[in-house]
Amino acid sequence: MLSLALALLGILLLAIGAGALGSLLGLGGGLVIVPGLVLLFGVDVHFAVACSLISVIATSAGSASRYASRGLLHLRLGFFLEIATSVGALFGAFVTAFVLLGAAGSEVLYGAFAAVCASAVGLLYRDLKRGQVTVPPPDRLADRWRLHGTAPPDGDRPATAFRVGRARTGLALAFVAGCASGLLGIGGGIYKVPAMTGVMGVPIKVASATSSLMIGVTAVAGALVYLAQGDVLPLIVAPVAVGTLAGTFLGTRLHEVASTRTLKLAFILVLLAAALIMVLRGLGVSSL
Amino acid sequence: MTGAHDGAAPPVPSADIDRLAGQLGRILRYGVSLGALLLTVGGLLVALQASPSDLQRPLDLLDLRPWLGMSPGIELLLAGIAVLVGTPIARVCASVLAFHQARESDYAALVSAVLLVLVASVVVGLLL
Repeated sequence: MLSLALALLGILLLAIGAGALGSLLGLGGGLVIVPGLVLLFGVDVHFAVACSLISVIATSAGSASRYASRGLLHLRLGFFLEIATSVGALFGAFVTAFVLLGAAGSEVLYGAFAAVCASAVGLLYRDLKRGQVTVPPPDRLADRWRLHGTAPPDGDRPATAFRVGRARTGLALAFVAGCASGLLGIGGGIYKVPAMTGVMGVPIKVASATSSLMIGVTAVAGALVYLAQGDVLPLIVAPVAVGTLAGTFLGTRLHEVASTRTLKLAFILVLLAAALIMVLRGLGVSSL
Repeated sequence: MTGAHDGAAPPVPSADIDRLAGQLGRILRYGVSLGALLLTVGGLLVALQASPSDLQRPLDLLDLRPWLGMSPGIELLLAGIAVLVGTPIARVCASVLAFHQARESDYAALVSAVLLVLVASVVVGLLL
């Protein structure tokens, strides 16, 4: 009984750390939660992914509700891309829950996780270099679905209208982000935000806010597959979800004192280490 | 949002949709608060009572009987999960209604399609 309470406390602390780090860096906690549950607590990777998705729903709802009051949510764009992210998440969760069963499947998942960690490192690194929004060419699909919008005033800057483009590419990338979410139990914001800013021409703040809104429905599409399949461990969901929420709250408070640049560099190292361990595990080299 | 749109950009009807953003924000805030509260109280009660083997016991949606009455607080914990998963679904439903009322039938259909994808998720999880 004591060991149960200790295990739950350990998972709670892991989730608080993951949530705090996630909110400081603008990523969800999933990238830390899943390897943490697998490597530190011996949870099967399928179960870890399912539990992480439920906590992703909670963090998304928390942050999207804060963005809503600041007028940053671009609802039409969110729903437009959400159809692609939710279909992707359904597909990704299906692959994890039904195709990648057993030891061989876990190896593939470790590999996929390592790939996502590596691409997150790449995106974070690029982000350290610059953070420009591109101006996309005119796009009929974006016109048809009235995707253009206005960013609310920010400090001295007045409200600015922006035009959205490359809607098809955006949809394709949203599908990929959804697949990653359902497959690996992450929010997928690391792909959605660059797709909106770098490809479609959405200002970063609107993109982050809209991404956080979309992540909730994306994660539900994946979570429902796992729930219906019987992959959710309720006793682990509680500390993971509550811890991530508390960590996110803590992270927003820490925002003023921590240097984002140092944190990003530190996080890149943590992710590289996690990716390496997952690859070694997948290859059967390491018992870490 | 009534910002100046340049050139050929079609006017974006938005008053209703701006209201919707606030409404969705409230749904999400209440949902996540209630879900977190249920999970915290339920989790604490379960942590004191359950046995370590329950930690890795998966939830079977079609047969909840072994869970109910397993330990005090477990019902709260399961309700917490249901509320968290139900929160984004509730905001999708509210959006279908809002787009319908705003006479944006294309978006009402698009958002309904998102709802269908969620139904498909349950069907896929149960049938396969």
